[in-house]
Amino acid sequence: MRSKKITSRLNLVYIISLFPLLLFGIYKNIIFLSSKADINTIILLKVPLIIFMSVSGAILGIGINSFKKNKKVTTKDFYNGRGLIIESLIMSMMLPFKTSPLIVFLVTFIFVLLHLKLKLNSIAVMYLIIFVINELLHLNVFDITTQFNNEVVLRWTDLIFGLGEGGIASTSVILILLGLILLCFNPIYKKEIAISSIITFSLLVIVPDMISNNYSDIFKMLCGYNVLFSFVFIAPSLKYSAYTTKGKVLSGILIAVLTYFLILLVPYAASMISILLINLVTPIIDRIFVIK
Amino acid sequence: MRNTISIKKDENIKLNNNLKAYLNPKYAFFKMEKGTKLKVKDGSYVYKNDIIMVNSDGYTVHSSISGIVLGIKDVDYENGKKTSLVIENDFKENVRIRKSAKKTIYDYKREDVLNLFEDFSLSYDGIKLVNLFNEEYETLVVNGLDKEIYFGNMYFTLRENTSSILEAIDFLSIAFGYKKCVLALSNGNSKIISAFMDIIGTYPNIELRLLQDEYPIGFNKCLQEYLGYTNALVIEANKIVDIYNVLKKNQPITEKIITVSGNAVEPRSCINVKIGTLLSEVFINNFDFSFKNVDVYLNGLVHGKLIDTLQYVIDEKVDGILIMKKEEKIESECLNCGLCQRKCPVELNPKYVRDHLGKVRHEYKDGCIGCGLCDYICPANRKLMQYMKEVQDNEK
Ligand code: SF4
Ligand code: SF4
Repeated sequence: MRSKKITSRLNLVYIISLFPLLLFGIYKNIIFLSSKADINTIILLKVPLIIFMSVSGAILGIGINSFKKNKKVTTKDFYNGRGLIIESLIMSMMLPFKTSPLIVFLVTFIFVLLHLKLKLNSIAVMYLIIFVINELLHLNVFDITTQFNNEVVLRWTDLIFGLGEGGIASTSVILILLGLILLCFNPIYKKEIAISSIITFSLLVIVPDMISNNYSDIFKMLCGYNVLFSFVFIAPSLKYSAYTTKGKVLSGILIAVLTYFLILLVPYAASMISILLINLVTPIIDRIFVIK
Repeated sequence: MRNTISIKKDENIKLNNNLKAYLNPKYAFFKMEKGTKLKVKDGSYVYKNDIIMVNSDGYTVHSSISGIVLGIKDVDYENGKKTSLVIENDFKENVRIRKSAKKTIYDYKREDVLNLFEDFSLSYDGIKLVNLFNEEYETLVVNGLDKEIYFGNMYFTLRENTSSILEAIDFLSIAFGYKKCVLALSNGNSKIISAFMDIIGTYPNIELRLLQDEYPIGFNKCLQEYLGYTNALVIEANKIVDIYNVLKKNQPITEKIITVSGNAVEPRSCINVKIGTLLSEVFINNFDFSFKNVDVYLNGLVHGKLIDTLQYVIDEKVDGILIMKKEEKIESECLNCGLCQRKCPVELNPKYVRDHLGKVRHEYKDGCIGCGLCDYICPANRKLMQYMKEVQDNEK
């Protein structure tokens, strides 16, 4: 086990588990949506474009960074920076349809260029920057789905399969959970964070609904707002999350609780803000559990 | 016991089936701790088994050879450079006439045994055996597992001393009133198991426990936890052999088995050596390898340490040496994966200690058994155990 291969393998599992989601996102936004609503397919091709621009932004950033350092850019530089490329891919999958691909490109590019000094979860930071820009430009409506929501009545099964509101490729609960199962096989994936946050968040959503006997919003909350996606793919970030076993469980719980309350204020940024806030107190959380 | 891992062994690294011996070292070195009183003078003649020094805490040190005292020299030990008494071998193995031993070990009483432990300063993990056996325990657990994956010290000890081990355990259980005696063996060794099975019928009070080859079960603390005995004295089988030999021969322990193995050395085997011999001397005369392009680990791959000289004295802490083809291991920045903390069998947090050197409280490092699992498992190749041990050693 004494090798760096273990991190490469984690990156690979990330890609393998993200791939079906990516395909599903393209299917949802292009094939399914255009069949249900009167939307131009050309416009819908924006989905792969957003993802492409984000990854290209990261690649360019890495290239320029390497060029500044050693004057000669090799494929090894990109191989070493693959973590950042995967992060930008994950981030772009959560963006709303209306986001401008150019903004995505610029943000990932600038972020990757400056990234190294930042001790924060980079996916969350990139996402929040784009989220704020979207807000300022009044673009931050996850409206592609709302649009067809008016025409198509979605059942809870549709939501679970991923036809509900959310990022362009981050809505399928089934595929996210499949990804989680795959990731759990990797010894350095911090499954405790993902699992504890999912359980806590589900309980927080389900229990009050059970008490009030009103289940109308339950699947929207559980399947929407990028929550599950960020719990599985972003919260357990290797670098900026707790590393002690109990610390991982506690931070998962805290992320879920914070998300649950923030969702009322900023639904699509709630999980990201929670992850960043808990990221800031992670050393303290780990400190509590230095000895298990 | 929560954390054990099965370490994949290189099938090509197999030990020779014969136990070698190198019992004629040119010189023998004996560590002088602080406050040690020498019992011999420069130039004087010592017999084998003579007391040559007494440590501040009353430990007597016996010579493993006969010969002339040459003087004092600084030499390397497993735990650092130490001043040592050097004796030059005359290869005669001269011994003084001693009191004869009893016919069978069953003729000894508890007090006689304790007196012999005291006389010959038998110790275990730095604790006097007399103190260990003076405490009341319900169970005696004999650890017949090798600590290190490529070592065969225990295999040969068990193979060469099957009946003595069972007899000694049986005797100790009678003399010290242990309610239960357990002998733990690795289930990967069918020959050893059947050798014990053949004669264990004579000792109904000894229970055999066969365990998976998992790391680090061979460490006493882990074994005890794994077997689930809280009030137990856990002792390694080679120490039981020492006890048997002391009782049987009324002589101190002057030899031990070490392993020489790895994919860059020939032949790979266990070898019986005199305590106090220089590793380099054993090597020059028995093994073939060069220091180029190899990693040399003192005491094994997982819990041992990388060394760059063989000028180490074989004392009770040296179990062997592993010589492996060089492998590039660059220590990189911590990935924050938490594997080291998750896998530590005694639930310590080596990453924290390493990141906060000099600022950590006692309980964060006390109890490290030096198993090296954290080091072995770290994907960033960080040297963690070394710091756990360094911190401990500095405080001693
Ligand atoms: S800290 Fe000590 S006991 Fe824990 S894994 Fe490392 S060497 Fe073993
Ligand atoms: S195993 Fe190594 S990389 Fe992982 S947390 Fe421990 S020290 Fe860091």
